[in-house]
Amino acid sequence: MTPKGSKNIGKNRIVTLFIGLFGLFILFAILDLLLGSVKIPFIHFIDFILGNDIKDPVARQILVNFRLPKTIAAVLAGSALAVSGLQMQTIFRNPLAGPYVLGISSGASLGVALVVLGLSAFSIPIWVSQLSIATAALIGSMLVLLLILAVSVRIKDILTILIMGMMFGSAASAVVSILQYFSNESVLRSFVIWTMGSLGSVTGIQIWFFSLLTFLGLSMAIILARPLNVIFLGENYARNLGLNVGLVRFLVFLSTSLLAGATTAFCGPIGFIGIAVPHVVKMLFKTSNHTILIPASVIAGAVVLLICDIISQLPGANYTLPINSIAALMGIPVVIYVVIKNKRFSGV
Amino acid sequence: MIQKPIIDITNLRIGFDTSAESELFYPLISASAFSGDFIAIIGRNGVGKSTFLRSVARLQPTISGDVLIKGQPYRGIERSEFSKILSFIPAEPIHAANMSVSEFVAIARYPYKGWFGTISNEDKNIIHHAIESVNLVNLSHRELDSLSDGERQRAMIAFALAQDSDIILMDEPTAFIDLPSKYEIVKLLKDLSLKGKTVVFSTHDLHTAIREVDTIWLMLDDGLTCGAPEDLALSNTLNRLFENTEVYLDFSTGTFLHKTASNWTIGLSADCDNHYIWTKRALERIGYEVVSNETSNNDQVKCYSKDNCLCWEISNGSSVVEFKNINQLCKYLKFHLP
Repeated sequence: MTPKGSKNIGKNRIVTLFIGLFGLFILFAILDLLLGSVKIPFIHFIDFILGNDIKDPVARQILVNFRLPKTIAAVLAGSALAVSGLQMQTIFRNPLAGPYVLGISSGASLGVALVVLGLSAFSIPIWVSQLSIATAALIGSMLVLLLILAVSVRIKDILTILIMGMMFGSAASAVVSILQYFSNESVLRSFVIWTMGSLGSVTGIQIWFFSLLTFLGLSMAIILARPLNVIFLGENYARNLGLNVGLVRFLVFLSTSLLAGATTAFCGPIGFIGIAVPHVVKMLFKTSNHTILIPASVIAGAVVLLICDIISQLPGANYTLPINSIAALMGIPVVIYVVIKNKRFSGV
Repeated sequence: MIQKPIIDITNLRIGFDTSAESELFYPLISASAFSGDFIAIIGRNGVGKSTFLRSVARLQPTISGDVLIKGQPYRGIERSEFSKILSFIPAEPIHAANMSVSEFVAIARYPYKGWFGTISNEDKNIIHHAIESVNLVNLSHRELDSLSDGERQRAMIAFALAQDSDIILMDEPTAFIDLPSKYEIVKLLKDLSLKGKTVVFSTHDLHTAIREVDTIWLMLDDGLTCGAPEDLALSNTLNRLFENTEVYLDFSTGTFLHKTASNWTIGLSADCDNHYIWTKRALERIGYEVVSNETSNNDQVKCYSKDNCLCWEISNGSSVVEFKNINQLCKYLKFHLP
């Protein structure tokens, strides 16, 4: 085997994998639109894909106003979680880091809990809509982000930042528990349902807002790909090469917060996808080059969450399972595999 | 013509300015290095070798003093320019999953490329040449994590070469590797200095350092002393490294020996020099002072060849015992100490 030959094989392999992943993406996006509790004739679906007018108003209603936003939400959330997880694993040089290590989901939970539970506990009548929940979650995660960014400017040690993130998260969870303790059954139920995650509640203007935030976060991630390759070697190497480690870290935290924050705001805290998908991508592509890993995570994250969504809506049945549980059941085996494989936790 | 130093350190105070305990600080350091110098930093554990190297590499703040790199105050040089002049390779072996040697070395081109630059053909040549210089061409597509420690260290040197800097600082490049690889690494670094790079590395391997380097920066507790290894040996400065320890530099052989108290004397004669030397080493190891057979009033050891085999015999006037090897001889002596 000549080195040149093996290099070409490596390149061909990456191209093939990208084509394969994209094929899977198209396949599962179509299946996600097609499958559901209501059976939609395939002919209507073809019309829908081709952009023709759908004759059946019910089918049109379901496809355009329900399934399409849900599929888009799955794609956005999957990509966002996978990329932010990858970024955190590289920045913290820890294979078990994920989008929520900085306490972003706890911040979002606190925001939602304050709106849903807090206001009702003080008998303040509120109008609990999807939009107010999303706004509260976004504000909560942004507040945690600001804290983390403030800490990361002052504190140089990455482990300290990690522990700070965990502490902020725990503090937020503690407050959430207090709020839960004092709230009545019905609002508690709506809070618990939010924590289970849902892709189907992102509608109308929210989808545009979600897309915008995710697009911003993903663009930043792509710009940060090369600096991440340098940071991957560790701080000593990065600073030796003249990289402004503090600035890169700040921007990566910002990108992760936009991605994970927006996803949590619109779909609830969806766990494990963000930890598991980057590992699947690394195993498939066998590279640590982030200019490859980031686009690959975008597609793979979307594919995995589309699969989760298809499973959760139990095609043919009238029930929908919480997306969070399905994502966890799919992600946990991968995480267990990674833990067993990396008994030695060096590198990522 | 007087050559200007490439590294010129004056009254540098290194350390962490976190407490008032200024006695913890290392004394002011002054030293300089020229193009093509091959320099070893030597000092006991914890004296501040890494801190010193990292300070010169601008990886940590200094308290006071100046470092001029190519005649310029080093903090004033733009960070990306500085990376093209000086590279620093840390002591910890690089661990990065799913990364081949050539991918790793390619990252060293970052200072020339920035956030958006892609690797050009010229970069590829430089990367290939760097890998070639450390004899890793056959392994260039292997994953870093599958390399031996010596190969990994060579990959780290290739990284510094691809960074294409005039100065290479390395923190303990020979710490984790076996003896043959150690010599290989030191020889590789020496070759680089012969090609005009300034190589400064810290090490605990005095034997190799004394034989190979141009200059030793000796970090003693009361300050840094620079000099050729031989000068430091002759001025007895090297021995100060072992103050309050059981080790000393043996002047005649240039090796470091353990101070053993010789409680007893023993006579020794042998049929040739090699047999004499190695038998003497063994006897000294178990605590004897060796004298020639004629002058000794005590036990006598004789080494001779008999029927194409080596034999040792020990006599104390009355009895004679014979041994087939040094091991048996030593065991006997240990049990029959006077």
